[in-house]
Order: sequence, then structure tokens, then C-alpha cells
Amino acid sequence: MDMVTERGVTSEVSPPEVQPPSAAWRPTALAQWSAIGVVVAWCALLAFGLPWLATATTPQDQVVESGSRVAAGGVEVSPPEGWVRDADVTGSIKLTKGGVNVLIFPASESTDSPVDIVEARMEIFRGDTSTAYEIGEPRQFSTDYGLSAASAAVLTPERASVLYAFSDGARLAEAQANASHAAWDELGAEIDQMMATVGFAEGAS
Amino acid sequence: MSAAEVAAVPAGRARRGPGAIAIVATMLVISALGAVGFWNASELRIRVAGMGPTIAAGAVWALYGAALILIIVLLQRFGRRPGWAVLLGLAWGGFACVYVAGTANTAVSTVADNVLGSSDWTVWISPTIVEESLKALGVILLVLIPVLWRIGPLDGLFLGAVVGAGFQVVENFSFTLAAFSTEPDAVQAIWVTLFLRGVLGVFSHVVYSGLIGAAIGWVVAAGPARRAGRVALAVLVGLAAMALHGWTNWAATADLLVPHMVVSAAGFVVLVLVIVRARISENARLTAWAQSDAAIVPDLYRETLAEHPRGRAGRLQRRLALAAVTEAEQEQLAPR
Repeated sequence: MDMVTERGVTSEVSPPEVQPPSAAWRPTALAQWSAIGVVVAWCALLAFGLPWLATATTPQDQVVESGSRVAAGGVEVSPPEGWVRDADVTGSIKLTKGGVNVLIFPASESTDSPVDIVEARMEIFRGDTSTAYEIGEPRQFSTDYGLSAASAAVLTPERASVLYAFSDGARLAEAQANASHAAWDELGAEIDQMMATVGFAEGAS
Repeated sequence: MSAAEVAAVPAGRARRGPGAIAIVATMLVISALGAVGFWNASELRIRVAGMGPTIAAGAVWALYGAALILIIVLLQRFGRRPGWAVLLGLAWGGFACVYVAGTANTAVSTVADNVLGSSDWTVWISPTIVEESLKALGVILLVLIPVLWRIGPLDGLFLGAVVGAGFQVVENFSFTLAAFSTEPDAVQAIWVTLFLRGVLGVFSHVVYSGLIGAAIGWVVAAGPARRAGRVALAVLVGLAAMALHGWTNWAATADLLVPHMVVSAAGFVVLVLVIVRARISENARLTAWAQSDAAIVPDLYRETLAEHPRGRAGRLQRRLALAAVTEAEQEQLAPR
């Protein structure tokens, strides 16, 4: 098509190309295969990579180094050698060894005496007549960290449980040790030794 | 691409090669794996709830999803969409996205707990990024198959809405199964979930994915020369949809029901405005095209008839197309 410009020069120009409503869409093979790669990689990252990272960052059960202090919920304790801390339990302390497990619950504000607390727990077992419990008398002791403490044993034909309570006059914490009779015979002394190391973390309530 | 080249493309049929087949296979495999994962995760809940409540919940959410898609279809210019592509989009959104996103969201929450000691905040960040990216990738795959041989904003919006509807239906179904475990009255559990997830979160995933899909369609429609420039704006649209998703998640967890509903409704209004704007734009371009280049109108005519457009816009297009073709061409093209 010839076109006369403003200056009178004749030139050959193409007619304006009319664009269709939307040009035909022909994705390239490169675009298609690239998209597949991106999608597969992204799905793999989300479905496998992130769960792997979650597992990798989850604390694993660890053998507690003898003499070190283990703390949670405002309570501290020093387990003897060979005790394993359960990483799944947070807010409390759960320690296991040879079929024995020890749970030390978080401290709370309370002026109740340890003996009263242990007695109250024993009453629950006395009221439960469905099981033949053998319930011991509360025993008082002090920990190496100046806490007044009390404990009492509850025995069934299969298992032994000992309940503990610790107090500094303003704060109270409870603990429980559970084991078979055989395991208790073997590790009972270690448990008593451990319970004598219970203290409250400074500044915790 | 010139108009003549466009006209040479067979109406209503897209060219597909090995890449397209690979995309379909990829989507099917990941969706199937997602379906298996979803079943494994839900089997116990279904057993506890019983088949009756499970089927009732599934039926309620299927109807909800069908209503969503029907609304989107009625709002659009086009009527013809390949059924297999719709099913593929629903499967991708419902199974691939829900399962992969669920796995990733749980993992992100665990990592946050392990590393930072808190994961409450992840509920309005992780699902936003993970879910929207997965759904957007599904739309991109459908576009690249290609489902249609011409892609515009409305096409992308439709594909996004389909993927979002699949996601929303399956996710809400799983939430209802979870509600059965805490609410013994199954009917009550379904109604409460329908209200919280269906009414308050009106069209949530359909809106987010629809907007992102429209942006994707807008990029594709630009042609190679202007495509790069539009990508940046499309990314902004994606980020805005993610922000909308994140805000509604935060409002829901904070029990801010009214703000949650208002923002969700606002998102839907934006989606409708995008549809209206895109329709006006497409009709204007179609009109200009039909009036200026009669040589390629027969293909437009074929396409228009093949797509069975609905409503006034459809009638306009048919009239424009018919007005532009010669009598001989009409005779040649008339259905026999």
C-alpha cells in the first residue's frame, strides 16, 4: 500500500495488522517441560522436604549427662547416669530407664504442705475399691536444694508407683515414678537419689 | 502471530504434543497420590462418623462446589469448556493441592514449634503461600496443555475458579469429617461447618484462584512481546490474592466473623468486577476484529458457534460474526 506522508513523500507501508481477540496460544515444548519440572520440584519440596525438615528439627530423646540439671515447668532435677529424657514431653520432665519412668510436673503457686498433698492423693486410691492397692504411709524428706518433700508408695500386684510432692512454702511441684516391682528393686535407690536433687528454677513460678 | 495464521488454526482444537500429554500425566499422577493420601488421612474419621453422615457431608459440599462453578460459568462470556479439563482442574485442586498443602502446612507448623517455640502465626502465612502457589501452578499446567487454543483473562479466571472450587469442596469436606468427632449431631456438624466455611468464607478459594487465574490468562493473552511486562503485574495480583487469603485466615482464627465475611465478600465483588471488565474488553476487541478483517471471520464464526456463548454478549458476537461473513461464506458454513 502506498501512503503519502505530510511532507508529500510517497512510501510503501504495510496495512495495520488487526489483532484477533486473543492470539492463538501455542505453548512451546520448553515451557511445558519446564512447568512440569517446577511443579514436580515444588510438590516434592512441600510433600517431602518440609516433613523431613520437621522431623530433623524435632528434638530426639537424649541420654542425660550424669550430674547435669534437667529443667521444665519451673522444676529442675539431676538424674543419675543412664536416664533418658523424653523429647516429646514438653512443659514437664519425663525420664526413663530400664522400664522405670519418672514424671515431674510443673510447679505451681501453693502453700500446701507436701505431706497434705500426698495424703490427698492417697485418699483417691483408698476410695478406689476396684483394685487391690497396697498404700504406704507418707514419708517426709528434704532435697539438696532446700525443698521440703514427701512421698508415698502405691503398689498393685504388678506395678509400683511412688508419688512425690515438693514445696518451698510458696511453690509446689508433684512427681510420680512408675515401674514393675523388678525394675523398682533395681532402680529404686537411683530414683530416691534423683528425687533428692529436685529444686525450683530461679525466677520460675 | 498474524490474523491469517490465527485463522489457520482449527477452530476449537488446540495443538497438543508430548509435552501436553506429560502435563496431563503429571497432574493425574499427583492428583491420584493426593487422593490416596487424603483417603488414608480420612479413613479413620469416616469409620468413626459412619457412611451416612459422610455421604451427606460429601453431597452438601459437592452441591456447594457445583453452585460455585455454575455462578462462574453464568458470569462468563463462554459456555464451552472441555469437560475433561474441568475434571482435571477439580482433581488437581481437590486432591493434589489439598493433600500436598495439608502435609506442608503441618510440617511448617511443626518446624515453627521446634525452632521458634510457637506456631499459631503460621496459620495465616503458610496456607496462604503453599495453597495459592499450588493452585496457581495447576492453572498454569492447564493453560500449557493447552486446554483452549485461545487463552484470555476470562479463560484463566475460569480455570482458576475450577481449581479453587475443587480445593474448597474437598478441604471443607475434610473439615466436616473433623467436626463429626467433636459434634455428635451430624446434621449440626454439617450446618456449622457449612456456615463457618461456606457462608463466612464465601467462595474463598474460588475467589483467590480465580483472580490469580485471570492474571495468568491476561499474561498469556498478551502475546510474546508484551508478556514479560505483564508477568510482574500478574505476580502482584498473586501476592494480593495471597494477602486476601492470609487476612481472612487471620480474621477467622481471631473470631472476627464480621470483618472476615466483609473481606471475603469484597474479594468476590472484585472477582465479579474483573469478569465484567474482561467481558467488556473482549467484546470490544471482538467487535473491532470482526468489523475490520472479514477474511478471517469465518473462523471466528466457527469458534463462536462452537463455544455456544450465552446471554447478550453471546448474541452480540454471533450477530457480529454473521454480519461480517459474506452470503457465500454463510451458505458454506451453515450447519447441515
